[in-house]
Amino acid sequence: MSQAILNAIGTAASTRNRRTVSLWLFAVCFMIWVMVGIGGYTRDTGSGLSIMNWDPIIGALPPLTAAGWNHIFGLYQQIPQYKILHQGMDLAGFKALFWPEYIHRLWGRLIGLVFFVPLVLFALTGKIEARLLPWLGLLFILGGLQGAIGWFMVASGFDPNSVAVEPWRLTLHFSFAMFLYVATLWTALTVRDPVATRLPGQLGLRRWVAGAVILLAITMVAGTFVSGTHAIDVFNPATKAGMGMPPPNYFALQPWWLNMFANKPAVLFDHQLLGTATALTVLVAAVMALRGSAPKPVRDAALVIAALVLLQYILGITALASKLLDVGVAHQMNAVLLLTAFVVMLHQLRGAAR
Amino acid sequence: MKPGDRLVGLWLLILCGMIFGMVVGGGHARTIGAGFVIQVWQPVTGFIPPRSARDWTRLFGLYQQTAQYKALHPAMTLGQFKTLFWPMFFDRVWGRLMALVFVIPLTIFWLIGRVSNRLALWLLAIFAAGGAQAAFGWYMVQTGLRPGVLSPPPAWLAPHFLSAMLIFAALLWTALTVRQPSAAPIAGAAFLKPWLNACIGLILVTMGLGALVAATNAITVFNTFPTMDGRWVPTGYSSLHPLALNFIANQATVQFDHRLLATLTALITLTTAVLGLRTALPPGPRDAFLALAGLLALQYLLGMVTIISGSPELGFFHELNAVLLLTAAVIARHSLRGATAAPMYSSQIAAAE
Repeated sequence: MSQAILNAIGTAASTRNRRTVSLWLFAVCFMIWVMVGIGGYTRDTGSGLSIMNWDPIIGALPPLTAAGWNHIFGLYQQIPQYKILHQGMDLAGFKALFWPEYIHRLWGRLIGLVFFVPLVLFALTGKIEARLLPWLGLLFILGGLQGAIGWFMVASGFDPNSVAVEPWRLTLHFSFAMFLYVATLWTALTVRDPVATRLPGQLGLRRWVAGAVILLAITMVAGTFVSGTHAIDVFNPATKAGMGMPPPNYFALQPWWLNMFANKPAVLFDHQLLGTATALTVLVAAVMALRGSAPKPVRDAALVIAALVLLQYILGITALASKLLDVGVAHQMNAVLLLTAFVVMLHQLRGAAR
Repeated sequence: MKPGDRLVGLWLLILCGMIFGMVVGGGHARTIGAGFVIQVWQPVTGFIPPRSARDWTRLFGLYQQTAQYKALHPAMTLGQFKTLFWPMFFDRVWGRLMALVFVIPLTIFWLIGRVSNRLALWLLAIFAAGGAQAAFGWYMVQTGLRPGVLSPPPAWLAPHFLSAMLIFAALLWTALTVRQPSAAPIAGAAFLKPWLNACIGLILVTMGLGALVAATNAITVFNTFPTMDGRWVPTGYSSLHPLALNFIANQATVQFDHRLLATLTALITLTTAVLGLRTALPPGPRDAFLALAGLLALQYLLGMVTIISGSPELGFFHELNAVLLLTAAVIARHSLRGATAAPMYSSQIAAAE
């Protein structure tokens, strides 16, 4: 990085400004990670359908009066989930469903604020490079779109005879969240560290790491189908069902590809197989980095991905064996940590060369 | 640097491999419940298999005196007896073969001067420990004649396994030292030695507790993870009297202890591996640390899957991988024999002066 390039970028690129802006974006990433936890908890408690309306602005206020509570409880009593699963539920029971979904939506609004207000302030005070503004503006709009996708998902749960949202809409909602997360994280890392260090001899490692992260992404998508279809119900140690062997009724549904998305034993098996393949690929990537001549930060990232993939595998088995919802949420949040470590590692390897 | 004797080192490594083979055979014999089937011990002539119908009748008759036969297999046929007999027989013949592979090359190497007097005495001590181990194994088998003893008792099986592991570790260390007599100096890695010592100690103790799990057949209870049937500390943890008996004979206690110590061992070993991999090490020790981390991960997962599925076969692989894990830890520790504290920076030297 020559001083000439730095000068060309201008004052916005001062080290101090870059640190401030990247810190803000890292905070947004952290908030998205927390959002994944809240969302997972909302899904696991079956709370997602408890709020029947979508008011992006005034929805930030919870019901404040008894009349307000009765109104939204009355709305909930009209949907099939209430009639099928919760007939006769009292207001206290409803509130237990209401709060997770409410907090999930509120946290989303908060992320919007934490993104938007500093963005405007930094833009006005010239702390952000001009060329970055359209990109950050686009990220903000896409964040709003994610809120709309969330509503699009929830709306599918109100269909006749439906007690949960459609799995593929859940997948869309989670995948889009991950896209926003990675985009924000990569931007934060690049703002903090704008120039790629040239790393001769690390190209093979970078390719392998890129392959591993693609596998990880596919495994995470497959995981959303496990979650969306409640495929974990299949697990039964007595019959060895759901314990990693191909299920006999893998192709029970027609057409065949539908099994990947809607046939519980097949969905669970796919996720397990992909998880194992990902874990092995990640371990090979870590071993490559640790045995090679990679620089210290890359080596440390390799240690982190190895540790996190081990933890992820243990959490996956534990979630299956215990059917504890909290472990499932931890498994999901740790997947995001693993993705984070990968993005950081790939970012460090940007300058890899033959 | 003094060159190592590769041939003698190879011979000792082969013996280590044969001890591993013994764990395979012994673990398999235990898994199928064959421990008590041969109630004779003829240290020298015992390698001759039964040949006539009379031999078989005599051996079967001896087994029929055990409490295990009377309580569990009163309707056993001679054919069923044979399927249990052969694995156990093979395990014992393997032990005799090891003695031969130990003594004959040792004599030759000693006579031609490739093994020093000091090393020969040390190896003879290890050989004696192996002989004692065989005798101990025989007395364990004899407990089958006591009334009410239906399988090898935990208080016998765990020491039998643990002493085998101590012999294995001693022999492995000796083999590595013979191959590489002078320790290569590694600056700044001395702090890893106590970590690895702790790992080896913890792995050995966890293996001993694992042998108790196997001996008490504790795999048949609490097939859940991470809790034990919904509780972190299982019910009936201290139901036996006196209290000390729980630690060797109570399935709940034994399994809980193994789980708890295994988790502690895993955390300490992973920390050690991370510390080692973040230190600048030569390729040999570095790969030993990688193997340590990889085998540790595999071992924990195998343990989890074993207890969830309640499968003795997986437990067998869990046992074998434990030996590999111990091997990696010993190799890593041996590769750091010559590690020294970090060299002083010139400023520190100046300050010291």
